[in-house]
Formats: sequence, C-alpha cells, structure tokens
Amino acid sequence: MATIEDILEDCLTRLEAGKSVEECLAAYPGQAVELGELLQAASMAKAAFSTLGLRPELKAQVQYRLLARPYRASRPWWLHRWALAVASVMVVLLMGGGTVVAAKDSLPGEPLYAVKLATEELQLRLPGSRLAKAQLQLRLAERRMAEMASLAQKQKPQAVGQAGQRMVEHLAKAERSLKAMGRPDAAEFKAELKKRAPQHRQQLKRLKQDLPFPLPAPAREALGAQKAGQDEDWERRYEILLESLLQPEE
Amino acid sequence: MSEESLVARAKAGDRDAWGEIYQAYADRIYRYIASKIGPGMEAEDLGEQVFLKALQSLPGYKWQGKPLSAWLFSIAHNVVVDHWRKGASLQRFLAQQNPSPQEDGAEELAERKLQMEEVVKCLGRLTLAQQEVISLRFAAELSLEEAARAMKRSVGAVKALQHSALVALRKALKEHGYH
Repeated sequence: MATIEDILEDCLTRLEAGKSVEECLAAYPGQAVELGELLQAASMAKAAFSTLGLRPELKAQVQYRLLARPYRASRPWWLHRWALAVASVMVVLLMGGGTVVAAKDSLPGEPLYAVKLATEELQLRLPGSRLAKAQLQLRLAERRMAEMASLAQKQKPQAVGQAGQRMVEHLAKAERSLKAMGRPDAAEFKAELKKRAPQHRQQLKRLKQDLPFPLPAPAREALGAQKAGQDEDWERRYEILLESLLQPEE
Repeated sequence: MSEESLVARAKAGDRDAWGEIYQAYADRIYRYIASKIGPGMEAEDLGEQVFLKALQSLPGYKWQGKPLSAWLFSIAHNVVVDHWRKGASLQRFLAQQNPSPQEDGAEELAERKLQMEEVVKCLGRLTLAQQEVISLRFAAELSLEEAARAMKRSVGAVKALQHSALVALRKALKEHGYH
C-alpha cells in the first residue's frame, strides 16, 4: 500500500506534468483532505519563487566575468614538460625505433605510458582540419578501448577506469570539432563513426565478460571505485556519447 | 548535447561549454539562494561565487554519471552556510524590505514580493533539512532524485523529508493567516 509520502510525490509529479489539483485529489479520495493542504503549501512555495530570476543583463555580465578569468583547464599528469620533451625527441630522432614502438604498446601504469600519451598530444597539436582532428580523436578513443580490453583481461579495474575516462574525453573532443566543422565534413565523420560503432560496442561488451560488472562490493570498496568512477558501465556511457555525436544537425 | 560531454569539454578548457553550464543553472542557483537568504544583490553575488568556486574546482571534478546539479547545489549550500556563518541573517534581509506599490509601478509585483517574503519567513520555522528540501524542490526545481543526490541522502529519505517539510510549512502558513 502506498504511503502518504509516495502519494504526495506522485501528485507533485502529476502537477508538474500539467494535471490539476482536482484530478490528483480524485485519484486519492481517502487522503484528499491532507493532500489538498500539502499541495496548497507546495504550490505557494513554488509560486513564491517562480517569478525570481536573474536580470538578463546581469546574467550576461556575470558570464562575461566568469569566462574572462584565467581558466585552468585540467592538466593531465602526463602532459608535463618532461613527457612532451621526451616524446618530441623520440618522434624526431627515433621515428619507428624500438622505444617508440615499446611506448605505443604500453598500458596505463607502465613507465612508457606517459610517453605514449605525450606523443599523441603532439600529434593532436600538429596543424590539420577539424575533420582530421575529430578522426584522430576517434582513433585515440579506439586506442583507449583496446587498452581497456587488455587491462580488463589483466583484472585491473582501476586502470580500466582511467582509460575509460580518457576514452570519454577523446569522444567529447571529437564532438567539439564536429560542432565546428562544415556539413559535408560532419556527414563524413558521422558516417565513419556509424560504421565503426558496432566494433566499439562489441569491444565494450566484452569488457563485462572479463571484469564482473558491477564489481562485487568488497572490491569496489577496496578500490574506492564508486568515487573514482572505476566501476562504470562503459558500454552505457559510450551509447550516451554516441547518441550525442550522431544527433541530427539543427 | 549530453551533460557528460559538456563537462568533458569544459574540463578540457572550452569556455563555451562552461558558458552553457552557467546559462543552464544560473537562475535555479539564484532562486535556491534567494529562498535561503532572500532575493537581491547579496543573493546575486553569492550565485556568482557558486560558479566561481565551481570553475576553480572543475579540474578535479570527476563525472560519476550523476547530474551536474548534485555538485553545483552542494557548492551553493556551502556558500550559503558560509554566508550565514559570517553573520548574515534572513531576519536582517526581511527588516530591510519595504514593499512599495510604487516600486516598478506594479501592485501585483508588490503582492508577489509580499507573498514570497511570507513564505521565506515561514520557511525559517522549519528545520534546516526541511528548508533544504523545499529550496531544492520548489525554488531550484530539482527532481526528487536530483534533490536526494544534492543532499547526499536516499530518495526514500528525501521523500519522507519532503512530506514533513510541507506539513510544517502548511502549519506555519496557517499561523500567518494563509488558509
């Protein structure tokens, strides 16, 4: 049997959806008197604040002030001078050499992984069209998915979480480039993404076979997984991002 | 665009993404603060502080699949608590108010202002947790789930709190002559 708390919430939801107080009360005749008083109090509270809002000119000023402040974007640990310097030297001097190859196959937590990420950052900084940048971000997201698969096989959920966060960031950056490119390029990128999506899905689905999902409570607790986002449903997160990337242009 | 990719873009230094977040939440944050300390310049300043603090802690923010509102409104809550700690009070705000029908030339506006002040005054009779749930649900217009996340409580607990808050508010309003 529904409690008065449940009934009240149900009525508030109905009112939100445009139903009248009378309709709500008719649905719960036994609680109509108490409910009527509570809904009246709720609507008074709502009405009291509904007219409040920031003046548009103030909002614009605050937004301007906020955006004009020095903005410290997240600076990943690997994007330090030393890693970029090593990567630059390696790219120039050791193109195709053993160290570069070794770094290319490294996984999160391994010594050469910083060089791998820094090398990718250098690639991203090279001039190129928005389409090329978005395509590169997509390749890097795929690289993160491959890392996630290897790490899941090695039973390293924490490192899977780190690679997963980076995968999300690559796709978000691809979306940013997508928004700024012309229609033909956007269509080309979306077509490519659609073509590759089944492979991505398959790879992320396989993660769950190698790592139990959700992690058993003791493992989650030991890792602080909930907090650090390591125990995530990456398949679901990918679908949300994909939907956003493939949405039709306005 | 999903909130998750908006956050990722903002974290990567995209100012437009941050601007979108501000536009989406500015009014609701202001209403939430106004429900606690009364509307006006102080509430506007505190609202700006909320976004400044959020901007400063954005690099360390980790998306956990929860709406951004949980994070922003917990910052807003802390900003209001700090404000109270500094000695500001709702009573002082209410004492400064002098609703005048000439102001903006609208009688209706003055009436609404009066009603809001009465509601804010009645909210002062509720416990802090009850005030919080009313502010989040009816001023900031968060869903029950969002309010629960912002308050770091279960949905069931917030549902019960919402009921007791409305019972207490109704009682206070009746005592103020609203029937």
